[in-house]
Amino acid sequence: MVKTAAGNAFSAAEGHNNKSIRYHSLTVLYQKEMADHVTGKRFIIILILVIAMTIASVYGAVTGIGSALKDAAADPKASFDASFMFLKLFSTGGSSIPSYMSLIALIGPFIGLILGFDSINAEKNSGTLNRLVSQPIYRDSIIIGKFLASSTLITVMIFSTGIAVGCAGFLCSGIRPTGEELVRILIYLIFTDIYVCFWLAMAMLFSVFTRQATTSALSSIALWLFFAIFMSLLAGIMANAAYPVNTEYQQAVNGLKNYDLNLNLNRLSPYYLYSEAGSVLMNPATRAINAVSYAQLVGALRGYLPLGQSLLLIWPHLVGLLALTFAAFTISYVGFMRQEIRGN
Amino acid sequence: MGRTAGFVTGKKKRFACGLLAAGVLAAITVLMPAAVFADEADTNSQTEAVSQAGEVVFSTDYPGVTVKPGGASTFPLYITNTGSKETTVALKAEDLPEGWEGAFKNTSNEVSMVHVGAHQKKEDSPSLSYSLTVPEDAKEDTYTITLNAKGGSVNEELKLSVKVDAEEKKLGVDTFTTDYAQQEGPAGTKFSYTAKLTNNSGENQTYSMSVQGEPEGWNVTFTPSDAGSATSSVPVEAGATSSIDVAVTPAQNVMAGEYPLTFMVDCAGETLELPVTVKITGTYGLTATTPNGNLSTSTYAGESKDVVLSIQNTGNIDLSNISLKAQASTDWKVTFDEDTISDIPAGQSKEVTAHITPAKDAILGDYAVLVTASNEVVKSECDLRVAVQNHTGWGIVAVVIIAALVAGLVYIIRKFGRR
Repeated sequence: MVKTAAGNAFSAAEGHNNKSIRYHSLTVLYQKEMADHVTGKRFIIILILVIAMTIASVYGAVTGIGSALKDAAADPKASFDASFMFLKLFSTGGSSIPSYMSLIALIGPFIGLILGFDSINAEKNSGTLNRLVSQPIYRDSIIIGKFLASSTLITVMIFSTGIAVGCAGFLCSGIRPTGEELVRILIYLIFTDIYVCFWLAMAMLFSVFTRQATTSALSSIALWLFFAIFMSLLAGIMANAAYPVNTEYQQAVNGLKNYDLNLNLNRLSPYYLYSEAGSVLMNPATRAINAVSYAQLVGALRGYLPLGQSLLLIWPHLVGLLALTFAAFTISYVGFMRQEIRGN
Repeated sequence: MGRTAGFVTGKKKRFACGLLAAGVLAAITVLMPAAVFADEADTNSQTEAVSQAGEVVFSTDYPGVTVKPGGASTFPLYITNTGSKETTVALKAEDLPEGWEGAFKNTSNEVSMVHVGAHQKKEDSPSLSYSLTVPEDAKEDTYTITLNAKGGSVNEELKLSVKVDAEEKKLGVDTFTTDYAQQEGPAGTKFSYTAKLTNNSGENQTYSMSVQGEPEGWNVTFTPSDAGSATSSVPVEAGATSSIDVAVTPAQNVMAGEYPLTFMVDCAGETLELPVTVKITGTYGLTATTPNGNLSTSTYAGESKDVVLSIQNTGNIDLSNISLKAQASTDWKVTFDEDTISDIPAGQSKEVTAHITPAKDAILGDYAVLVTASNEVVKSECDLRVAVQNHTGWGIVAVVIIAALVAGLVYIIRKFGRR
């Protein structure tokens, strides 16, 4: 298939100047890469994963909201906040099923990893890449085309699952979304898209710098596990080492510093960054993301932040995620461009 | 007249027959005026008739009155009978001066004869009166009018002495009083006086009512107790007392103090005055709000925001030394243009600017700031809602950084892409 793509690019490049050759070859590579993905068996695995996740989270949200409402009706003391109900479809889980938001924070990276872990080294090993670069096309079209095709697929996946959760939730619960809720969900899905694209870029990075596809797959999964699970443990250990809180006195003196360090270390993890931004976006009652002292809470009134203020609270997260994604892609790009391919 | 003459001649005839027979006949005549039955009754009870003769008494309460020329007077008449014989008497007025009019009346009709029952006491007496109308041109003098009740052996006379006097004095002076002339209450109270107007003039009179001395904006209404709604005049029958409810509604913005009012009733040039006092007690009122009622505002952490407050004196007493205080979250600063307002006149308001500075580390979202205006007697609180925001400038920073990232990526692609 790659051979055909290169042939097409070559024939189309005839009689054109360099710039149009570049874009034309990119378009052809992009289309061919998309076709490869969609017709592959891997795509079916991703599809099953996404569908299962959607069904589970809708079921969890509907049962979770239902039981919360029942509890509130039975116990007059229990307060149930009925504002922004539609957002609760995304942020509420059932008794044993996590919410859509926590599911996608955990499983979403998989989509990126599966699409990217062998993008370069598998072709290198099978020799197709060698033939591809021998064609009169720019070499960067190959990696850009692969990244764009995979990220397009990710975007389609993320938006369809998000919209599917919203629609299914609406059908099951009858909760109607307001305009602000729709905008918040849209921004949240864009965030999710960037988050998964970061993992795609990471997987491609590994595939550029490792020879074996299995190595890059295991490395990316290891990184994913580290950020999703071990980073929080490590941050806790480091924070406790720097600011011990073993005695009551230490607790009083170091408590805030310990918490701040812990939080900041956690924020190095894209997983945490994304989860924090998601909770601010999908729960408008969130007013602060840092530690809040009692002094700051004196006189504070229960209320919701306007969308603009919520966004101003999480803009560093967006910038951070984008920067991480660009950094991973740039490194793999530079690495790919400098690699000696013909020698293989 | 002819009829009465017939009775007189008949009586003389019987005297000739003997005193006893005459008595019997008189009794019979009392019973049945028709002479046809005289003989029949003769045999019944001769002895009783003797004791009954002359026992019928014809009387009135006030036989002597004074009347104005053109005036009228009514004499209630009573006929009593201590005897056990019933009789019927004919009524007649004698010596009635020329131009005068007089008539015997029961409740509805003119009457010429009256039936007298046995053992009739004064209270059993049928409703009977003699009404006398004196012509306008009657001369001032004392006239005697004789009322006659004749029938059978009865021949009672009642002399009425009527003095015609153009300067007829009233029997008494009308009175206009109330039990509680001084009332007090806070502003907004509707005061109610119950005044009693007594007509002692002996004639039915209509009084017009008014009030004097009420301040502007006050409303005073008179409502006779038997009338449904307020009116300005009330009719009072001779000798009767009418109860009048006087409602006094002070103006809305009335100041504390005493307000003397005079209720007046007027009748035929005569004026009765009833001085009363309404005392408005002082009420303190203070409201702290903003001029447009909007109690929410927004600012940025650490940045001052001016909020104009309106301190209103809603009472009717001037307020002085009102101090302003604010209660806000930790490290917030709230200052006022003037901490103490020296004076707010009753009903007025004063605007003060509050400078609210949230703490530097205030979290986003709404905070409550409680502004208290108070002096030693009155206090008002105003809850302000202050939304702490982030500067939109940070959003622009984010966009700039993202643009820089994209530019960096493009630069790298350009640098390394041409291979």
